[in-house]
Amino acid sequence: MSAIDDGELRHWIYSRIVRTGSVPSIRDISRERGGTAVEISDSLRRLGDIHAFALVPESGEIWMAHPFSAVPTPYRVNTPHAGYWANCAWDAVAIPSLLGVDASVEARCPDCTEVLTLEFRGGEMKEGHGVVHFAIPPKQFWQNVGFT
Amino acid sequence: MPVRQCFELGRLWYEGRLDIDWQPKTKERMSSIFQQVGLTDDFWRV
Repeated sequence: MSAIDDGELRHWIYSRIVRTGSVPSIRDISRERGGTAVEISDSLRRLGDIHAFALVPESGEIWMAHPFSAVPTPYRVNTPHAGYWANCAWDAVAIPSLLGVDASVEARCPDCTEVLTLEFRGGEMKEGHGVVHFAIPPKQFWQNVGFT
Repeated sequence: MPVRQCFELGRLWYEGRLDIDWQPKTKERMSSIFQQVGLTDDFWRV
């Protein structure tokens, strides 16, 4: 029997991301929540298998806790409480609803590098323009999730 | 797709993601979400 409840760990990690804006490392989790690095890595691997997280292949660290990214990206979401990196434009515009807070999203256009700013207030998107390009169909989202 | 449509997609897609009893979406749930936001062509078939 595993020493870590995977569902509880997943919930702990998301709560920690929401509170701090950063995705914790295995070491952070061990220090702040408890559990050995091996126990946490094993749990993260199981959670990765069901696409609860995308892990860095070599290290097993969390790469993506959708819609949040563990690493800086061209998509930044700022709220009154914290700032978050999003994995893509879709994830960036989802974060204000997920958190239930007002937010400002800055997205760098992958084509012309212009920064687009979108404002979210009271659960709605205010005036904003732009299009989001999906190159990969949903059936293939997880075949190479980094590229997706 | 227009960014507003993407916003609606994201709102539905990540519903419940922060809940302790979150479970991966079934293909039926994914299809339902795509249809609700008007994504009905073959590209969105799961």
